[in-house]
Amino acid sequence: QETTTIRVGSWLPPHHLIVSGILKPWAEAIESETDGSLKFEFMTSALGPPPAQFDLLLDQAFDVGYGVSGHNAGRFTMTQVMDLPFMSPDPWAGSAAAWQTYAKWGQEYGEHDGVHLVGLFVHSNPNINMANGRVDTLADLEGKTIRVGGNVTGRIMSELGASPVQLPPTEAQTAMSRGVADGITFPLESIDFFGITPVITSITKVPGGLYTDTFWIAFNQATWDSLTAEQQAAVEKHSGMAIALLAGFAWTNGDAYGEERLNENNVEFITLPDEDLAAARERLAPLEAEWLAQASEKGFDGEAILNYARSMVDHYNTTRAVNVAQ
Amino acid sequence: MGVWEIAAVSFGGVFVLMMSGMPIAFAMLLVGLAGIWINISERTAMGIIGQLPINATMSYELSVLPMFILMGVFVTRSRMSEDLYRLCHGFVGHMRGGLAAATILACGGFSALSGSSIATAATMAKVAVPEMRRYGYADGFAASAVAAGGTLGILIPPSVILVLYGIATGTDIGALFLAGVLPGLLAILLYLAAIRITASIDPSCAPSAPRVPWAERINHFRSIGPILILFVAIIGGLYQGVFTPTEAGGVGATGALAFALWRRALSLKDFVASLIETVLTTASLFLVLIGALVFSNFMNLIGLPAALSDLITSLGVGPVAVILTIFMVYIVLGMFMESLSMILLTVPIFFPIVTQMGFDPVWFGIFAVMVTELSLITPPVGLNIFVIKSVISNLSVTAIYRGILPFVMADVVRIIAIIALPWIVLVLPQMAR
Amino acid sequence: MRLTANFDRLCLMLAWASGTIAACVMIVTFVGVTMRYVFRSPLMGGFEMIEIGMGLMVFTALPLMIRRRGNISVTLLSDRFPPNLARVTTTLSDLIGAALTGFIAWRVWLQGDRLVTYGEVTMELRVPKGLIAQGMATLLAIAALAFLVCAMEAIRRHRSANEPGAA
Ligand code: NA
Ligand code: NA
Repeated sequence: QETTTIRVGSWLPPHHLIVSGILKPWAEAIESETDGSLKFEFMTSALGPPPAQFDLLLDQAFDVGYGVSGHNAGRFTMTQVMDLPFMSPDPWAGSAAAWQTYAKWGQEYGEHDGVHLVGLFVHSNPNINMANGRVDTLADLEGKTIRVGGNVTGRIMSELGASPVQLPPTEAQTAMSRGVADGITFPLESIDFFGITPVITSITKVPGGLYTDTFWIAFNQATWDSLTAEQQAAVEKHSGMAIALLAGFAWTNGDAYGEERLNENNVEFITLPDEDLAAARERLAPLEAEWLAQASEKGFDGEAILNYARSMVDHYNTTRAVNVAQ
Repeated sequence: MGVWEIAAVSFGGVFVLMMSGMPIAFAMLLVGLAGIWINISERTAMGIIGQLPINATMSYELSVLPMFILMGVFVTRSRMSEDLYRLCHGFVGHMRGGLAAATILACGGFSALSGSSIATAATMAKVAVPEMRRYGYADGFAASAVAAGGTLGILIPPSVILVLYGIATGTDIGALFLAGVLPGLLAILLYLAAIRITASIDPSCAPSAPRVPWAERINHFRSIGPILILFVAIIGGLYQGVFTPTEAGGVGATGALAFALWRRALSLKDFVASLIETVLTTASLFLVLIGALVFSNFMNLIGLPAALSDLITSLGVGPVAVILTIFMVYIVLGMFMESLSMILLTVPIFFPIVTQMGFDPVWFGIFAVMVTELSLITPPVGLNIFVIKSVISNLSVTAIYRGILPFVMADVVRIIAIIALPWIVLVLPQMAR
Repeated sequence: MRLTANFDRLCLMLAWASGTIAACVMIVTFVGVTMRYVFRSPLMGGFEMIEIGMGLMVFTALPLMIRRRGNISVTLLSDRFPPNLARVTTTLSDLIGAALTGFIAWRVWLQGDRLVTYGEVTMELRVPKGLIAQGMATLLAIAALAFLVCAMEAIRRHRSANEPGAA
């Protein structure tokens, strides 16, 4: 039997949950499904920075790539519907809704021409993690310096009254531990992964999901076309919703682990009160309006896409009560 | 051809092109690009070369390179190197080998404001070598002291090499800078010891200079004071978290500009010349960076890092054996290769292996800088020595290479010391957490 | 030669632009830190101004750097080549430099085209990335010319040195 080797371009360390909890299990499932006719080989160091991953995949520098849609501003605008504030309440619902919405409309977007997209997923809810001061209400954010990873989060933080500071990941930890920033927006898992746990004193959870990032996983089109029908079927069987499922598990477990470590450090957990949540939704409404405007500029019915995405989120929401007698 | 053959042929190709005088950046670019074209595909080669120049240059973190270069240029143009040397001369010049010791100390001080070893060596050579000649020092010994002292430029923060290492490996640059402080002091001590021993063995190569009165010594402090303040502000600011390492570059350059203006040592013409000098150096550095990235992408694509790590696993050797082997590889590479490209080419290959074996990324960064320092003074290609020769007339390279031996030994002792006692490197960054 | 002199003036002007960008990067960084402490608010877009500035700074300085032969190289052996061989290798290396830089300019231009097609912009200031890339490609093309001018000079010097009666 002939073995086709699929080179996976990776830019995260191998023990990061996206690699170990999503990509590797996905690859292993396909390898055994095809009885080893497909073999995945993960590259050990990155060929380029995260925003370069999609173009590297287009140029077939590797056969399978993954990345963050928001890293290429303006390019994956439609796919990024889940990135809007309060869209993704948990990683299962967010990932499932991202994929289902894409399955319905994605072909029309044309945002992934040249690759064969096999999965979309989101990360778990980010919290406001504080090293200096605590955030009980939105008013407490006033005058606090918060490290953010990109401009959308930066925008969200300044709409909420904080003063965002955009720093590269290599400086995030330093910034937090030495007081350049008072706080940082991250999921629980990432706080621990990036070694920030020791400096965190309190964490404010924002129910409903302040924001998220939509990740993509894709084959280079030529690679995809070279696979046999059986190989393609095996890949598809373990992709799409299966990837969303893996992402849900990975981020939920990662968060649980991170929370355990934070609890060992006696970090105080706070939940943003309902009236503040309502105020936050209101202050962040302009972001949605802007996305709708961008959608119609590109010739899409943004309203319909957004509503469909919302209905999918509701459908796959993990807090849905199922054991009620009626 | 297998991975090993391709790698060997490619490294050999780069070496031959380099030796024929082709700019290093283009030697790496040509071999890297051709290698990807032949071994992977035309499409990948064409794609990578279109993207890489954009991605490699449009970097927020790398802005620290031109900023630290600018800071060094301002400091050099304000002619503080002379004051710095006089100050050190005043305190240690009368001891045995004192002027050479003063050179090392002044180089250490200059390194605290310059991120480049070549700049440190070139600047201090102009001040220190004529002075040592005046008091009858042997040429080879005098120039060696400057060459060795110059290497401190990349160990004592700020450091261009540490910045590039940090970005290439995702290691905290602030931690790397703090980690360089104690090994930098250790380096100074060991160089001083090397001078002392050499001067005792052969007193004729280093006559002592007359004692300088205390009043004069204190006087020099005054003119050098602001530069001390600037260094303390930058390192203190990093340690305390007033600004990030990237911001430290811009803040430092602004501070150095203020210092130069305060000394009335900078006309508008000088200011423009400083900027031009900075961007020309920056452009040549980035060209090497782009060339090295193309080449290391090629090595990455053929799977060299994975092959190397498989080899080590199959041999079953321990961490110390691996690090000593890497040390040997660096000594050999360092004889022939230019320092920047050496780091850019080898770190992506070695880093995954050493971190997998449990070495601290910050520690390996300092290790990599130290082997680079060694490469700057070892024959036949010792960049610092070439630089000193280019600014000082009538120097014989052979004489310098004879004088450099004690300093090379001091470097080897220091590298073994940090392998045996890693805390020398790690204690400061851990305290800052 | 008039043409060479004019070309060198262009290179110098570009380097001045590059120096101005360097000064701006310094100021933006300093102002950013100051604003964070004094006004408790960051300089909006500072991060991106520096990113864009870096890209343009490198490529605007490139032509003059090449003209002044500022490329980092190991001249250990080539310094000892006999004069005729040295001229041949210098000219050859300049021509290879011109070809490679021209090739890169072309590929970067095409990557710029791709970015324009996708409408990719920088995150905060929303500057079209494709335009930045094509600006870089143009500067790279000038850099390729700079190598050609260097090669021409080397050949001309060779000719005049070999002409009978030349001083
Ligand atoms: Na330094
Ligand atoms: Na050497």
